[in-house]
Amino acid sequence: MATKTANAAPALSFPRPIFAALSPHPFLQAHLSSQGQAKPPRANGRTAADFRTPSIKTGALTHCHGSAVVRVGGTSVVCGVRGEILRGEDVQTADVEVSAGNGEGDDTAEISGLRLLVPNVELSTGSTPLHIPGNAPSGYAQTLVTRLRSLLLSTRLIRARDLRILYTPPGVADEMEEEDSVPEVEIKGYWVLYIDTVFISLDGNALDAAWIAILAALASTRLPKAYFDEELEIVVCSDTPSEAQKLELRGLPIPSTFAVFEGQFEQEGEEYDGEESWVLNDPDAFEESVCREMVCVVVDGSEGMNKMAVKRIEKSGGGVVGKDIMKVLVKRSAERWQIVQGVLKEVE
Amino acid sequence: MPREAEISVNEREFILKALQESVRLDGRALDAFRPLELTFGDEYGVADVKLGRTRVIARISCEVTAPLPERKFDGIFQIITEFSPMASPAFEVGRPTDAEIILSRILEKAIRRSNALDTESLCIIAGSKCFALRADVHIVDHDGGLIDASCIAVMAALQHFRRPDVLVEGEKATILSVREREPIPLSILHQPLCVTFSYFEDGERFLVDANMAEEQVRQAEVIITMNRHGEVCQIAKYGGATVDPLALLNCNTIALQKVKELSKFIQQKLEEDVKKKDKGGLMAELSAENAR
Amino acid sequence: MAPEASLSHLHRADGSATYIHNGYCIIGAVNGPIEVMRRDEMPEEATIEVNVRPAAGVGSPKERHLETLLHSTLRSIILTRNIPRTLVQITLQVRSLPEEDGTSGVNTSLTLLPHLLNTALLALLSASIPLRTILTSLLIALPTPTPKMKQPVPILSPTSTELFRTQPIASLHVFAFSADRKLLLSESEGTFKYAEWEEAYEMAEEVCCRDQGGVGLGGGEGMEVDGEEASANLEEWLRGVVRRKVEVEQRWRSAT
Repeated sequence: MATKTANAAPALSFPRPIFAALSPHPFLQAHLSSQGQAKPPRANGRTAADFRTPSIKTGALTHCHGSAVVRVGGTSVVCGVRGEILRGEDVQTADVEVSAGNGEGDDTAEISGLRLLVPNVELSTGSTPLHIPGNAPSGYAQTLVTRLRSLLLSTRLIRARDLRILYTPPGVADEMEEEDSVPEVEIKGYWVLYIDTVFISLDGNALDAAWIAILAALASTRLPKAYFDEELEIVVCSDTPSEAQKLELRGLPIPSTFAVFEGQFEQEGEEYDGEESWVLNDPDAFEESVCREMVCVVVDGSEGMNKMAVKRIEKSGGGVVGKDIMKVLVKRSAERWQIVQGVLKEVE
Repeated sequence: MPREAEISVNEREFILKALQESVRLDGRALDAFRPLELTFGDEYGVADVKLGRTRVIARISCEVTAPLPERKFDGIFQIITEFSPMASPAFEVGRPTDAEIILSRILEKAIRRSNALDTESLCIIAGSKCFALRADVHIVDHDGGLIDASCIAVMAALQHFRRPDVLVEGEKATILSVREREPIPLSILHQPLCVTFSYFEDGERFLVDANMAEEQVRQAEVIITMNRHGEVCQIAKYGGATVDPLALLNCNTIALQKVKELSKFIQQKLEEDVKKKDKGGLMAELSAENAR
Repeated sequence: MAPEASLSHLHRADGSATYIHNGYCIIGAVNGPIEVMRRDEMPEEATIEVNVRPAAGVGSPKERHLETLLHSTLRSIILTRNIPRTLVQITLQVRSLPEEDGTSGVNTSLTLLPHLLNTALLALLSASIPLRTILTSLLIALPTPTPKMKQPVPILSPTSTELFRTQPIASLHVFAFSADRKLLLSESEGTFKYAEWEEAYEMAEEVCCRDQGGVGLGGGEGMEVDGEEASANLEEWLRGVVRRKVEVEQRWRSAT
C-alpha cells in the first residue's frame, strides 16, 4: 500500500500518515482514483464494495439477561440486555390501551407507550479521539440512540407478548369457563428491557456494529419466569434457569451503512460532473470524517431471499445517491444481510 | 458566541436627552404600554403575546404522574423559560444568561409561589396520581419587556387551557380523552401580572414598559407583580440606582391601574375566543343532529 | 392544501419564516453570518448550527437526531466556503402540532421532518445566506395492502387525520429534492420493497420539482393569479412565496 502512494507522487512525497493527516480528502481521492487497477483499494485496503465481517461472541457479561460483544474491524461494542419489572399498578393506563390478548396484532403502541425498550449508547473514554470524556452525551450519541430506538420500534423486533407478566385468578377462571370459556387474564406487570451498548473502540460505522450487538444480545436473552404470587401479592421471579424464557424476535433486520465520497473540484463555482464520486461500504472513522453523504439501508431477508424486505432507508448530506445508485445499494445490503445472518446463526 | 450589540454612545445620549424633556423615541407617554396583541391557537393553552416588537408564546401541557412524595395532595406545576438564539444570537442553548435567570425567578415568584394556580385541584388520587402541568415560555422576538410579556402570556395560557377530565373509582383513575368528555378549565385563584418600571436620572424619572434600547440605557428597574384587587404578589429590584421609598408607593398605584387594564384586556380576549370556539362547537353539534 | 408561509416577520433575527401546513406551525429564524466560537471555527468554511425546539418540553434525543439530519442536509446546500470562519445559526421552534400527532401510531420525527426542512430553507432565503440550490421536501405514506385494495394508493403529504384513518401504514417516506432534481435526503421506515420506494420517489420528485421543460417565465406567471395553482408543485409554491416577498420589498422601486 505504502509503495503505491509513493509511486503516485515520487519525489516530494510525505510519508503516508502525514499525507493522510494533512490533506485527508486528496489522500482518499488519490487512492480511489489510482489508475491501472480494476478495483482500486481504499486507504484501509478494502475495495469500495467490501464490508468488514463482524465477529460476535454472546454471553460475555454475567450479570445481564443477555449480552454480546461484536467486533467489526476496529469498532468493538459490548451490548448488555437487562430486564426489570414494571409493576402493573405503576402503569399509567391513560397512556395506552392495554389488552391481555395473545394476538399478533400491532403491539408497537404498547411497547413505545409504556417505554418497554430503553436503548442507551455510551462512548467509553478513549474509544474515539473525537469524544471528550466526562461530558454529557454528545449529539452523536443521542442521534445514535434515537436511530436505534426507532429501528427497534419500527421493525417491531420484540413482541409485547414476551414482555407481559400475566396472571389468571384461579377462582374466577373456573366460573368464567362455564359462561364463555374465556379466562380473565390480568396483566400484573411488564418486563422493561434496558439495552445498553458501550463502545470500547469506535472506528466508523457505529450503527451497524451497535445494531448487530443488540440483535445478538437479544437473541441470547433469557428472561427468568416471572409470576404473580397471590399470597405475597407481588410479582416474583423463579430461580430455576430451566424455566427462563427466550425472546422470540420478529425477523432479522440488518443495516448496512455507506459513505459517499465526492471528488474534490478545484473551485467552488465549478460544478463537479457527478462521475467523480465513490460509494464506500462500511466506512471506517477516517472515511466518515471525509465523507459528507451517508446512506443506511436496513433489509430483512428472513422471509426468504426473494422476499427481501427493506425496513428503512436513511440518506442525507448530499445529492449523489439517486434512485439508480440506491438500487445498487439495496442489492449490496441484501448480500451483506446473508453474510451477517450467517455469522449470527453460528453464534446461536 | 457573539455578544449583544451594545447601544452606541450617540444613541444613549439621544434617548437620555429626550427623556429629560419627557419624550420617548416611539412617542409614547412615560407611563404607557406598547400596543398589546393577544391571540390564542386552535389548541387549548397556547397564548401568543405581542407587546410592540416583543413576541412571547406560552404553551401549557399536562400529563399524569405520581406526585412528589413530600406533597402528596398537590399536583405539579412548573414554568420553563429557555431562551433560544431566535430572540437574540447572544442567547446560547444550555447556558442561561442573567436575563433568563431573572425572568424565570420572577415568574416563579409571581405565578407559582403566589398560588395563582390551585395545585391541589390537580391531584387525582392522593399520593399516587396527579396532573403535572408545565408552562413552556418561548421567546420568539426580543425587544425588551420580556418579564411583563411572559407573565401575560403564561396567565392567559393558563386561563385558556383545559385539562382532560378524570373518572375516579376507588383506587382506579381513568383519564377521559377529549373525545369522550369535554375537558375542564383549571382553577385559577387570582391573576398576577407584572409591570416593570425603569429608572433614569438617578432614580428621578421612571418609565413603564421600556423597550430594548431604553432597557440598555436605564439605571435601575423595579418589577411589581399585582393582581387586579391590588394585592401585591412580589416586588423585585435588582441593584442599580437607588429609588425613593415613597416613589415605590406611586409605582404601586400606577401598577394597579395597568394591571386592571391588562386583566380586562385578557378577559375580553378570552371571552372572544370562547365565543369563537363555542360557535364552531354548537354548529358541529347541530349538524350532527341534523344528519341523524 | 398549500402550505402557508410568511417571511422576515421577526425583528431581531437576520432572517425568519413561519410555515403552516396540515396543522403544523413552525417558526424558523436564521442568524448569520455571525461570529463563531473559537472551538467551532473552521478555517475554510462556515459552521452551521441547528437548534430544533419542541412545542412542549426541552430538547430530547429525538430533537438531536432531527438536528443532525437538518445539519447534514443544509450543509450540502449552503455555500459554506463563501463565508468561512463564520457561523450560520438556524433555530426552529415548533409552535403547534396537529392534535392527532401522537395518536396516529407513526414515527413523529418523520412527520415533522419535511416541515422543518421547508421552514429552514425559507428562513435561510429570508436571511440571504448564499445557497447552492433550494430544496423542497415532503412526506409520503404507503398504506398496508388489504384484500380489497391490493395496490394501495400512496398518500402525498398526508394530514395526521389521514394517517390515523388509514392505519396500519406500511411505510412512511420523507424525500427532499434540490432544484436540479437531486435527492438530498431520504428517510424511509416501515416494510417495503425497492420498487415501492422507487414509486414513492418518482411521485415525490414530481411534486417537489417543477417541470424541467417549463423553466421559462411562462410557468411562473400563471401562478401569480392565485395561490392554488402553486399548491400542486412545491417548487412553484416556493418561488411564489419568494416572489411575493421580493415584490413587497421592491414596491417603492417598482412604483416609481
